[in-house]
Amino acid sequence: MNHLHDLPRYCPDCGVTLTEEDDLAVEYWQGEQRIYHVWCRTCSWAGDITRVRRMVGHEPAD
Amino acid sequence: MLSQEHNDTLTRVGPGTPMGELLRRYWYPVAIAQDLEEFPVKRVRLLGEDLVVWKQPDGEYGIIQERCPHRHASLAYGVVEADGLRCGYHGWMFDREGSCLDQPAEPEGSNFKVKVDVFTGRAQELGGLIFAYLGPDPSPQLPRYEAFVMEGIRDIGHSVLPCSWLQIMENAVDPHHVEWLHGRYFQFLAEKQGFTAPGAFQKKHVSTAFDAFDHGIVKRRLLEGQSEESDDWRIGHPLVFPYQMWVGGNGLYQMQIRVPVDDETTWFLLYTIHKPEGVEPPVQDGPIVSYEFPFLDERGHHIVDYIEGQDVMAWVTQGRIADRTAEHLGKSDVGILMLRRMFKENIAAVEDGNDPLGTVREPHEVVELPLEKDKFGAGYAFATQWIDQGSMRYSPQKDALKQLHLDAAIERGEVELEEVDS
Ligand code: FES
Ligand SMILES: [Fe+2]
Ligand SMILES: [Zn+2]
Repeated sequence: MNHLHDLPRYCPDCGVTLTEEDDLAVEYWQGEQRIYHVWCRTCSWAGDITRVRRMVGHEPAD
Repeated sequence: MLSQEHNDTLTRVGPGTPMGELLRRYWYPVAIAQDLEEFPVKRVRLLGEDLVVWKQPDGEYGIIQERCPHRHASLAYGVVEADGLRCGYHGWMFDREGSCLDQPAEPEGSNFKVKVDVFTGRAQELGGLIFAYLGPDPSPQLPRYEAFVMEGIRDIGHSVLPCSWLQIMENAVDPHHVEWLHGRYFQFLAEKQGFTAPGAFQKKHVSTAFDAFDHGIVKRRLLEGQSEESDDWRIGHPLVFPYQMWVGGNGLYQMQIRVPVDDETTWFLLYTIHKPEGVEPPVQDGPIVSYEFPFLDERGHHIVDYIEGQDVMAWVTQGRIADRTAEHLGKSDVGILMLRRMFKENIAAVEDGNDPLGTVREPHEVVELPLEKDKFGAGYAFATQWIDQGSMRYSPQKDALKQLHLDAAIERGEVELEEVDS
């Protein structure tokens, strides 16, 4: 899989184009969920961006 | 996973690179002070630059580019004079500020020397180490971290490692590796090779937490069987941005220093202070003991039956520069995400003309850092296991250090005399 094809391109907060030179995007996994941890140099927003394939509701404890 | 561009930005430390510019805002050890007592000129390498450090007769230190600007002979073969360093080849002389003071072979009255530019940084002694600063003026203060100024007996083990300093820093925000590398793996080796592995590292991690503070990241862990009141959780210990880590407990204090020599090489120092509770702080008489610890055996295999040898194995086998385009980070790697972000934030701070994290501008006596006292709930055993099964097993003063901790434990009533005799 090409892990770079969906590298976040824009800051979710200020909308600036994210570049590899200035900003940061690191891929990590939580279970089977693939997440990009992103930091925007322009507005200092930091957070996680992930693609949701299926909406999961309340998961009852087993 | 990182893109190749991100990995390059984070690992290139040479002049003119974004990370190189950030790292040039800090002071780094480049030599052990005692080495310059034995011979006052030494070739060193820092942040991809070849340099020469020297001690003047007035006790001041200088650091200069290695190549003489005349015809590029190494100034490491220079002559120390009262006010500078003189090239051994034709006698050009330079002072600590980078001025060329003398060109003895040039015609009398020639002013050629004012045309010659040479790069110099700043150098200073602290705690038995020579620190250098290669960045722009005005230089910040050399931070007097507790390690370098506190009382106690010092012991410096060091080795030059064939890997990027960033790999070692990422390990400093990776608490989970302890229970595996120093726990399970150590135990596995012990079973196979017939020795006893230290028990203190085998405890399971229940939680880990990371908090940014004004000198880096405080790392905290909660181990199985510990309460939230334990020092490991309540206090923790810090990654000291951008290249150190302060650890310790049970009368041992250690600054782990990872000097970026160049993109692919790190000078790793374990700067330890022994000051057990229960006795008067021991006084260091004579020069600080320093020694190189080995990490490869005669077959070129990693020596993995001691703690730091295991760490070195993990760092070096990742490659000279770890290929982060092929890594798979999980939820237990969030400390690493935080550290990478901190580097990017501070690269930006420097580009914007600001001081990066941990810059100290005010003259001061000491910079204190958080540190747990009771580590892994392991008491006196922790100190002796650390000496016997860590890099200090190579220390020429190992027996005296163990005796010091034993005497203190007896004094504290933690160990009975009979127990020791038997
Ligand atoms: S499990 Fe972490 S490097 Fe292999
Ligand atoms: Fe370790
Ligand atoms: Zn933004």
